Amino acid sequence: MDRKDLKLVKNIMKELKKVDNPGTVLLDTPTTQIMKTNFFILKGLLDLEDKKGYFMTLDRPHQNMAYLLNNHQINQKNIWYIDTVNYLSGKKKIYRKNVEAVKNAFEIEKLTEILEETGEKRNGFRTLEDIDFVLIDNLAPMLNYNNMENIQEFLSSFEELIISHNNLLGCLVMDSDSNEDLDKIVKKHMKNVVDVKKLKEDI
Amino acid sequence: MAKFERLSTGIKGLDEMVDGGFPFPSVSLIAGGAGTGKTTFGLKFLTEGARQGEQGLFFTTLSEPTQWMLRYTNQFDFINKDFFGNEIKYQDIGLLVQNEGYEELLDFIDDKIAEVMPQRIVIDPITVVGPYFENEYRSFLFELINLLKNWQAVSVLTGEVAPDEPYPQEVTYAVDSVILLSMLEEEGSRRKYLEVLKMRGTDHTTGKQPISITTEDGIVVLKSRF
Repeated sequence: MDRKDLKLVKNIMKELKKVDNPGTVLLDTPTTQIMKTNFFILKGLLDLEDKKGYFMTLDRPHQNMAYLLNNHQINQKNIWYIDTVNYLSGKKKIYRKNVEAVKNAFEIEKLTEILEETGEKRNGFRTLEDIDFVLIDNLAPMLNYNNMENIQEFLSSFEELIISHNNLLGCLVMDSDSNEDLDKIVKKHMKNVVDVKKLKEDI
Repeated sequence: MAKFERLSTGIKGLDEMVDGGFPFPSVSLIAGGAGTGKTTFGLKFLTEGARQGEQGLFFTTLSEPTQWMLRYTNQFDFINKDFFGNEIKYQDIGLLVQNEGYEELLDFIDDKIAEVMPQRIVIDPITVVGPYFENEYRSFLFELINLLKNWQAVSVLTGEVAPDEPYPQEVTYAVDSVILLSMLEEEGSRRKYLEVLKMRGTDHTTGKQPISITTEDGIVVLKSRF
């Protein structure tokens, strides 16, 4: 990470601190920068802010992010991965203990249930009551397997789940230009928007 | 469906032939004989990304230090030297190719990508690796291409075409796209061509298209069927 990257991480953190918790936030970023933006958010939350949370992967297997965080010496003791694409991508091996691999990722409306169940099952780690954030890596790939109604149902239950837990921040990373209809639905449920592209341009 | 993201190739006239650019993410092979413009293609591709604020990573397998590369790029007006070391990171992997096993090489490439987090990657030329890994070359290529596909980037591999083959066949089976650069002798002079042999999920122009290589723009497609 260079000086500009670190400045961007700090600026993203500043924006997230403006969100009243519990709250939901869309981090709008170009498709080509989604993995990097997810990494920057986790760098900020885990490393700079010492927060604890879940990272739900809908786009890339969790191994990619775990590898990135490891490469940049970011401690992963405070992150729990909920990986919905591991089985779809053919990566059957789970190398880490802090991973919940979801086999039925096609049913997006069930993902909120999985988030809740993970919190209950994994009380050795963190329940939803004592984590600080839930980060979803990218919603757009779910359009390949689900219709808009299913996605709306998921977003509605996700928002409800987040605001029913004190101090919980629900973050979703997406390119608002990827699909106009999806963007409308997302912005209905994500009450705050951070324009990551603009933050980068301002540096 | 979500919009199918594409990255501009940076090559004048090529984006129009391939539905707007390379699919993101994907792995492409640019194959051709000596002097057909493979390295120029890779540099133009990375420069285009740098111009748009994207991060690029250039691996050379030829053990060439950065200053050699900069000297070569001096001839091109499209190269902004300030990009090198910043928006375009340059990494020599020639010694690793010569001295290490293929798993060590893959680990190094993986680590470097994780460190730089590029949206555009070039490995120039990949075919140099073949003789060093002999029987393991296909396994290496398979694992390399899988590794590249797992990162959120568009990767371009360049490949030298042997005189007795149309393109490097070991590489083409695993990549998403193949673009062939060629030089043909016609009416006493050598003319250069570009042909899109394969591009997954892309409605592309087929057939050989004449190109020129200029100091101003690098490779330019002169005539296409659009």
